[in-house]
Parts: sequence; C-alpha cells; structure tokens
Amino acid sequence: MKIVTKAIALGCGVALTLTLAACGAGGNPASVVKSAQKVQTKSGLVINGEQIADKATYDKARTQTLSLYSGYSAASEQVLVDAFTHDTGIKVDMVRLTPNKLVERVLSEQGAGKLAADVIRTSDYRIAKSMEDAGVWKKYDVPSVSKFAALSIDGGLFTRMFNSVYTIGYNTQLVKKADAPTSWADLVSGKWKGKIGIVQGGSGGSTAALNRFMLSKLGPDYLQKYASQKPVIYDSLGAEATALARGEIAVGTVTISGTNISATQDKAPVTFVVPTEGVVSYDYYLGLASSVKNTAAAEVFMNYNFSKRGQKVFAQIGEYPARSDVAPPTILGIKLPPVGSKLDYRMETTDTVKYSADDLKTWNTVFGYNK
Amino acid sequence: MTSLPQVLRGSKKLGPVVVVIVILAVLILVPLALVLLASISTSVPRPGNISLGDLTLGNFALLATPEGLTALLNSIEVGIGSAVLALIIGSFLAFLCARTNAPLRKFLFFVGMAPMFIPALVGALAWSLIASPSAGFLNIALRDVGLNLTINIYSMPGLIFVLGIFYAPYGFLLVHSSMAMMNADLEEAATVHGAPLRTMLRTITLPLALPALLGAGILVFALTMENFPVAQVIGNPGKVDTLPTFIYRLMSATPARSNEAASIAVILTIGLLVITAAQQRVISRRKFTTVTGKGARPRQVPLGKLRWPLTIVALIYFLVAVVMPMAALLVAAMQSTPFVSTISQLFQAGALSFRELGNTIMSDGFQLGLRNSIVVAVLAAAVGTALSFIAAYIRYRTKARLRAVVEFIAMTPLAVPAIVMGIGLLWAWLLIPLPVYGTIFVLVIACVAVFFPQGYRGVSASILQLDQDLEDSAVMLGASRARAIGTVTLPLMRVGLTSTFLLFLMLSMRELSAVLFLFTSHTQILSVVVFEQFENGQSQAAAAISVLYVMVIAIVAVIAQTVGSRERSPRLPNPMKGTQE
Repeated sequence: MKIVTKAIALGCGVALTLTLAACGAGGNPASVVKSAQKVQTKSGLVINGEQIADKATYDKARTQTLSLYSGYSAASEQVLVDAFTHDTGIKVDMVRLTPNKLVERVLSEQGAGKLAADVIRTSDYRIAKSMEDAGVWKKYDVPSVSKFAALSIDGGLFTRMFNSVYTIGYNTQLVKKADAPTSWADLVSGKWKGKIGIVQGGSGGSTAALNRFMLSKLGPDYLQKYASQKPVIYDSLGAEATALARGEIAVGTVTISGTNISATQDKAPVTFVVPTEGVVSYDYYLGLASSVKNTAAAEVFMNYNFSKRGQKVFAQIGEYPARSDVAPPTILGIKLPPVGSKLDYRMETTDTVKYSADDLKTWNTVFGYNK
Repeated sequence: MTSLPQVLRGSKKLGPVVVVIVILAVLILVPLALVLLASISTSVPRPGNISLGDLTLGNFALLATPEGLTALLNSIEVGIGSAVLALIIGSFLAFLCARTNAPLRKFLFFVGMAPMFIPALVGALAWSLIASPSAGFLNIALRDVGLNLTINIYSMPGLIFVLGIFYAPYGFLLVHSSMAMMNADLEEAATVHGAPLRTMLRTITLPLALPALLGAGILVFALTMENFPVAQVIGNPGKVDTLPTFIYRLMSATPARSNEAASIAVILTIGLLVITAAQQRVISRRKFTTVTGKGARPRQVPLGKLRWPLTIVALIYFLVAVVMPMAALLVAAMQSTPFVSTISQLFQAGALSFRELGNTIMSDGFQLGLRNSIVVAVLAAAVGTALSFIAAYIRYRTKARLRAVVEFIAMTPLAVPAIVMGIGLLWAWLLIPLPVYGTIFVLVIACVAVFFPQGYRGVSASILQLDQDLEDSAVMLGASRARAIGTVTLPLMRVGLTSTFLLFLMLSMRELSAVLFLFTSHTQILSVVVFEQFENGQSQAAAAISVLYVMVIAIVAVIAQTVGSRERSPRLPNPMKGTQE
C-alpha cells in the first residue's frame, strides 16, 4: 500500500503547492456592479442621499446575520448580496435553490414550524401564492412602495423587486454577429437545427412566461416549429448557459443577467440579441418570512432591494428594475427596450394563474417531454 | 453450544434485536413510508398535512405512458450495461491483482480503487468535458488532426460507459476481497488431484467467487439504475431518460409532481426488492465459508507472456477512469475562457491560470463544504460500520426470530433511489420531534441510511467467510460472548470492518442525491457545492471545486489507508492472521 499512498500523497502535494502558489496571483474577477457613490451611516443608513433605514433599525441590523432563501439565479443573487454587504456591512446567509425546489423546502419547513428564513425571494406568482396559502409571508411595506403601481402584491405580503429578462443568446465564437439570429422567427427557420438549446418548460416563472409569450405572440405553431429544430432540452437555465458558453450549442434561450455575468465575470464568449418580436420578462418577488428572526436586517434588506441603489444594482446585473424611476441600462453594449414597451412582454400575475398549468401541458406534449 | 449470544438471552432475549429494528426502521422505513404515502395520495405528506383523505392509485398510471415505459426500459438497459462493464473491469483487475504474478500489482490495487475517489457527478462532468459532441476536448483534438469522427458521450452507450467505469471499483473491491481471502485448501485439493490450472479456476475459484460476483453485479445494477447525477449530466442532453431523471424532473416541475414521482419510486423499489430477494436466496442456499482456522495463501496464477499486456490493459482503464477526467477538470478549472476552439489554444500564453483554483480554495463556500463533508463522512462511517456489524451479527450469528426482518430493512435502501430516500428523509426528520433537521446530523443519517446495504453487505460477506467455530471456541473456553466477539470475531473481521468503514467514508464523501433536499447554507457539503455550481451554470467553478474535491477525497483515503494498513499489518504475530491475507 505504500507505493499507492506515496503516489497519491505526491500528486496531491504537487497540486496543492501549485494551487496555493497560484493564490497570490488571484484577484477579484470583474464585477458587473459599480460601487455606490456615497454610503453614510451616521444617522441610520443613507445611500446616495436616500434613507434606507433609520438609526435604531440599522444599528440593530448590523449585529445580525440575515437568512435569505432565494430562488434567484445563484450568480446574480451573489452579486446583489455582495453589493448589499459591501454597502451596509450586514452579513447574509444564503440558501439558494431553484424556485420549484425552494418552495418544497419552504413549505416543509413551514409545516414543521422550522422555517429558518428571514426573507424569501422567488419568481412565479403561483409559487409565491402557494407560500402565501401556507402562511409563509409576513406583511411589510417597503418605504415609498405605494408610489408605484402594482409592486406591493397581495396586500403587502411580498413585493415585486425586479423582472428578469428572457431572450435569445448565442456563442460569439461559433456565430458571427452578422449571422446571429435577430428574431424569434429566425430561431425556427431551420438554420439552427441541432445547434439550439432550450430549458424545459416547467422550470419556474421564467419558462412559464416564455411559454405564454411563444404561444400567444409567436403564432399557434411556433412551439412545434421550435421542437422540430431538435433543440437540446436542459433542466435548468444554468445548465443551458454552460453549454452555450462552451459551444455545445450555438444559440439558445437565455436571461440577459446570466449572459452578462457569464460574459463579464467568466469571460465566456456569449452575448444576446433583442429580437424584433421583443423580450420576455418575468417577476421576482421578495418578502419577509413569517418566521423572521432578524427583523431589522430583513427590513434593511427589503428597503435596500427597493432603494434606488438596489434597483440600480439589479439594472447593472441585467434585470428590469421594478421601480419606474430607475432606467434599465445598456448591457454588453446592447440597449434594452424600455420597460413596459411593446418589446417587453411581461406576464401578468393573473395570466400566470390562468395559463401556466395548461401551457406547460402543451409544451410537454409538443416537445415530448416530462410526460 | 448454541450460537445464540448470551447478550440476547434471558428475559431481554428480544430486547436488543427490537432496539436495532426500531433504529433501522426510523432510519429507513419511516422515510419510505412517507414516500409510499405520497405515491397513493393527492397531496404531499409534509408536517401538518398528512391527510389520508385523498387516496388514489392514479399516480401509478404515469408508468404506463410511453415516456414512463421508455424511462423504465432505459434504466434497465443502463443498469445491465453498466453492471456488465463494471463487473468485467472489476473482476479483471481483481484477478490480476489478487491472484496473478502481473507486474505493478500494488499499483493495480490502487487502479482498481482509484475511481472511487471520483464522485460519479464529478466523473460525469469530466466526461462531458472530454467527449461532448461539439465542445469536448477529445472531439476538438479529433477535429484538430482532421479526423471526421465525433464521439458523443451524450448517448446511451456514453451513459453506460461512464457509469461502468466509475462503478467498476465496486466490482473490484468485492471480487478482490473474495479472491484474496479464498481458502487455498480447496484449490490445493484440485491441484493435488491433477486438475490443470484452467480447470481449477473454473471449478473451484470461480464458484467460490460467485457470491461476490453475483453480489457485485446486483449492487452495481441497482446503483447505476438509480444513479441520478450521471444520468442527469450525460443522459439528459442526449435525451436518454431514466427513472431517476424522470423522478427528478417530476420533483422539479412547477408545481412539483411529488406524488407521481413517489409512485415511480415505489415501482422502482418493488422491482429492485424482488431482484435483491432473488439474489439473497441464491446466496443463502450455499455455504461459502472461505476463512477458517487453518489455511494458506491461495495459489498464484502465472501469466507468462501476458504479464505486461494485461497490466497495460489495466493501465488504460486507469487512463480513462482517472487520468483523463482529472486532466480535463484541471484544464477546465484553469481555462481563461470557457470556449476552446483548438487544443493548441490551451498551450498559448495566458490560456491557463491557477486563479480560479486559488480563489476557490480560499472561498468560504469551499472551506465550509470541506469541513462539513469530512465531519459527515467520518460520523457516517463510524455509525454506519457499527450498525452494520450489529445488524449482520444478528442476521448471521444469532437465531433471533426477527433476524430476517433486520436483513430486510437493512437491504431496503438498495432498491430506493437515493434522491427519493432524500425526500423521504426530509419529510421524516421534519416530523420526528428531535432537533435534527437543519443540522449536520440529518446528513449523517442520510448517508448511513442510503449506504446501509453496502455496509451491511460488506460486513455480512466478511461474517459469512468467518467460521463461527472460532468465536464459539472462545466461548467454550469460558469467555463471555461479548468478550469472544471483542477478542476473536472483531479482530478477525478487521479487514472487513476496515473496508466497510472506508466504503462508508468514501461513499459519504461523494454523496449528492440523498442530501440534495437536506442541506442548509450552514451544512452544505462539497458534492452539493459542485452540483449547485453546475446547475447554476458556473462550469469553471464547478470544475475547480471538483478538482479540489477529488484531492480532498484522495487525502482522506490516504490517511484512512495508512491507518487501515497499520491495523491489518500481516506481520503481527497472530497465528490466525495469515488466513485472511
């Protein structure tokens, strides 16, 4: 056994040394978020002149560690949390799961009286509603939310903080800009047959909105056309994004934020287009959990998310801010269509309840998937 | 002298057995009962919501759909294919290593075990890097040299290949211990009576190794059939649906179709239970005692001219199962961009850097995962081995009336997909009024529960090969039963127990599916960190953590091995000892 032991020990030793030696060379990868201009903490928390929390709340919050349960993409949530901790000094513990797994976890913990979340973020109104039915949320009004229409949901139980944007992405090493698809119709023209990806139709609020968009805006046979391109079907957006970055597929459905982070922080050769038919946006909600223990930190987090600073962070990540007074920025040199314009298809919560289940059935039938 | 231990006698006769059964039932049966309940209900059993009101068999209709049947058939094909491949590789290596004069035998033992250091998820990620049709390193290399040939790992053969090579160590370990411990007397007898080597191998060696072969075959079949991570990473892009990926998708649909998933799991469980029961009958019908109070080393088979060629074949396996995957992961972790157009691009200045690895090793996520993984694995190994011994002892060394029940419960998780077990455990430990959920202990419990059949089988094999007379002799000479176990049985089983401990340790270090629903941010283990990164599309971080993860497993293995080999040093002046080595 000695030879074996030595062989492994030597291998590991070498690798470890190399790795540690390399640490010195390590640095922070480029972040998509720019620093806040001015953070003041003398009289509570004030960022860029906007009061986020009063002194008592902020002082209390700084002694706490926030427990965040999130169904938001891990990379994006990490960017937001990093910015939050950087700006406020409040630490965050994150449990990150895809929304469908998150709801399972939350409902189980809630039922057992063991919910450990202070705040919860999820997409898909149906998921938020099922949590609501189980008494998961605790009403909380973020300051100035009443100034904006329809952001405080179900009597303030949770708040729409931003919309993620779904569109078409491509691998810039495999597809020249001139050849890139410019419309959803392009995708099904036959040019991308076998080189195209899509995420399974039931993965969450994202695909629910995309399904509705395809079914209602792109013609009744669009799904069939897409399916006939023999797309690779991925279980999660993350898996599809990886495949796109590595060139396993040339084009596919992506989120702008994911593509932005992938291109900026991982230097992946990916970008996106704004199709002529428009992009698809879907809601993300944030709310206090009824189990909230670190109330001050939770309130500061809610307020921060809804503050101009927080909204700008979302915009820089590549999301549509919920607040209409914060404009979506230019991402990877591409100007996003204005929020609520003809080119921004947003799924209403009522539509989510009305169509999502049937849309998924249709999707599964057309793609021969998930049965 | 009856074999009923004194500890089980008197008024408390059944007491300890019942206690063991209760412990096993809580670990294994309660979660399964909840899954079963879910399968015939319209709602998910979760705390405060265990209703028996809406019972239905409708969930089972799903299996009759073409998709359900395809997934079922695919699973069987995957299970058989990879079991055959793993057995061929495993027993070839075991034979080479344990019974021949092949060169580098000690290294070949390492080769046989080494892929165990690579979790199936990591192995699958690595092979997707190597041989994905358009972006795999192998295919890029083939394109570079102008060959119009594409290897597509995302296919049924690809899935069988990856599962086969990474589950071969199971075949290897089981067959190796059987071959190494084989009683030389029988073979000697054959030789003395004039049987040529070939006949001896066929009529003595092979039949003696049969329980191990059969056991290994069934084990690999069950494990690969229920394997989730490989099927997810390799099968999913190739549209090869298996029952576990089917279950996973049902679980992760919005809203989750947990009830239907549970029904599929129940069907799978019943099917595998039947297979397991059949195998148990085969084994129990014959006596396979190969370690007795006397004996010598089994005979070495001279390979002649084939010494080196066969060793080279074994080394090719090492290349495919260890070297290439690790190299691919290392390169992926070091690439400055995830996209590779030619292999030569990787050799350009600045194409590779240690930055990601360095960042990863320093990151809180990795360090926390590392700590948790080690704590979980060590605790699971200790608890699992102890429980396995107690259960196997009750089954094979006592006449306790309920011993068959013990075995039944112990073997049950084999037939349950780990991912389903994980869901059952989640529900169970939310219900059980002990403050375990959300702690590291629920992960320990998950690992013990999911790997119990392997541990139990390992210890059982070792007990079966140990002549009971040895322990009974000590009792006859006046030792208490406990003392006899402590001074005779346990020391004689040291190899078996150490192997079981190591098996638990390795399996727990690698486990993903069972803990996927049980971890919290404080109790993330390395496998979860890798899967999260993969699911979130952070392929480079996933590769970097994978590399470090495998290194950690290797280091743990070295430490365990060093301790273990000291434990079972053959140089001890123990007259019994030689019979086992």
